[in-house]
Amino acid sequence: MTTRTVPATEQRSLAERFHISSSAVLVGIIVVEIIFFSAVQPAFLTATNLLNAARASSVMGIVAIGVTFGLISGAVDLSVASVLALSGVVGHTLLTSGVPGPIAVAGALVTGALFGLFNGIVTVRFRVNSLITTIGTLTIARGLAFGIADDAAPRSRDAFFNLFQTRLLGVPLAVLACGLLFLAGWYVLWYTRFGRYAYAIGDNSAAAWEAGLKVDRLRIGYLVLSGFLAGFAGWVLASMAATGNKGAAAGTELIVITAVLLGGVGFTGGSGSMSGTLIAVVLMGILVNGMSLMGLISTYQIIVIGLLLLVAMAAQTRRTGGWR
Amino acid sequence: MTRLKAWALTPTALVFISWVIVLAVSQAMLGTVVTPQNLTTIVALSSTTIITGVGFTITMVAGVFDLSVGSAMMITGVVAGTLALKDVPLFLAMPSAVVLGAAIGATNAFLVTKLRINPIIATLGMLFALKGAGQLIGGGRGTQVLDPTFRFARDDFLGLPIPIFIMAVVVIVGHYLLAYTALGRRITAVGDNAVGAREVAINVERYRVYALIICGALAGLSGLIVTSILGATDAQQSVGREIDVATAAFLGGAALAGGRGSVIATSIAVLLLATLYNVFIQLNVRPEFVQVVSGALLVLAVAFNTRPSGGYK
Repeated sequence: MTTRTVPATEQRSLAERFHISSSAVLVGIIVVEIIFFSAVQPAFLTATNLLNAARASSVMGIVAIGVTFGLISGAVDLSVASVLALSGVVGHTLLTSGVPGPIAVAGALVTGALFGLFNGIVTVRFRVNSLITTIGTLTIARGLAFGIADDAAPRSRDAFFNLFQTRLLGVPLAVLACGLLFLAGWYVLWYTRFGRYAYAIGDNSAAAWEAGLKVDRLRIGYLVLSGFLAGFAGWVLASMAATGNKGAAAGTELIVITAVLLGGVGFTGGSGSMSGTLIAVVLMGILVNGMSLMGLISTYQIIVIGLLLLVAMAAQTRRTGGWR
Repeated sequence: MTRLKAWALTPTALVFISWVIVLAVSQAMLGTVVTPQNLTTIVALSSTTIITGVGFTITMVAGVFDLSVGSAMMITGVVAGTLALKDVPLFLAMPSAVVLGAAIGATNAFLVTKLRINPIIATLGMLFALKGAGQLIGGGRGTQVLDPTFRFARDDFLGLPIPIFIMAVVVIVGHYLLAYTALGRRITAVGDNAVGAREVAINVERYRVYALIICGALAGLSGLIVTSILGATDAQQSVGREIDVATAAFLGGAALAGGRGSVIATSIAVLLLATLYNVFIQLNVRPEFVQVVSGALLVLAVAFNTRPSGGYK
């Protein structure tokens, strides 16, 4: 399943013809979303609801930062949602077994990073397609989360573990953390070698290798970052709920990958930006929140987001010629 | 002797030998694995996975991929059962599963060959969309379908469960089709070398469409059998089955790059996995950890299978 260059079909999208950037299209969709949801649901445009939506989206956003790095370098990480749940369960289980809060949190972060390392080694060293690797680890991590979790475990009362229940100047700490991580992710991706190398490798790994980059190590590094951020998001979620939920974030990989692809990261790597991902995360966050407010049960939401993923992919393939 | 040696290195033989080893070791450990009754159970439980696996293998040989098979099995079964409950005549309600499956395959084919979406992502989107749609139709709780004709798959024929016979027919026809017909050769050519196939005037997209439709239809047949065995519509059945099917196909030597794969090898690999799960159950391993093992096996199978050819870059 190699991607081959396709004769330019000269099919320019409407947006291209009118010189509209894809970010502007996404912002336009966000505006339409806001108008639509506030028209049908008066409860939508209230400070409480918007803060709730932001809080709920921040977990997705943190995960999306790592997925963006992975995808730009040419690796798709589908295991993030399960790793997120497992990290939360590990952190909470460590805490209830009497470990101090910071060490329990470290356990959660290390769990995420280790899964990223495993994904990286299998994908890069054993040359397994990253989609298949991470579908495997998705199953493994979810199975471990269900195996380890103790449903009767008491809720966390540790102040450090529960850090993300607090607010700073009225803004939930999770939202601030997500914003800071986006800022850091943008800086690293755009202004550091580690970030720029992701584009080089995703665009043309052979050329990157010839230019002297340690391609294998870097590719593993991006997946470790992705796993680590999934672990971090697992802590944030467990912290807000004061417990590790083994079923947490089921299906979130679908939302995150849809957001990252909508945000303009090319499926075959080498293109995309952190700001695009951020805008798309906001778009998805509003969509999920609005659909929930309208009383659409999660099965409808799954259908909508599954279709949106296909739309995002189809839109991309119009630009790139797509899979052959 | 050399012919035997050459045979022993084919994926089919490797999987078969591994299965025999697993059977022998577990028999030595537990003493309750290789009994006629337990073996029948293993084969009967595998039959729907094998039927789906046949279609899945054909898609992989054609160089495409169908992750939506688990959800397709669920929704086709739910739809057939729901139609039967709504008093639609059974001669229409039961084949509707296969027809719906073929339609799902055609949709996948549209996404992959027309919209040019990477097949793994396209069918992943379909997996979620079909899962959601199936749960909407099926509702939260299963409803029993009491009609004895609908429950045909619960009956025995010549002392063996009926699904085993359906499976045998599908495997034989599938193997014949893939290995001995012009259609099968072309499907292999398309997956092995799409550019070369185009140059000899084979319509690459057409054979990928065929492969995906065959896969969808077989998933529909499996979904019907599962629903028939359960005797109820169940929006949870078969969800996640794609992991087992994919693991078996990879264990059986099918390659993500296309052009390789054997219906027989995939089927034996399903039996191998089913035997492992059977042993785990006898050892009282918790089902969550069985899930961990199946994920690990998927990764191992792909890693093992892509080693010699250089694999994914």
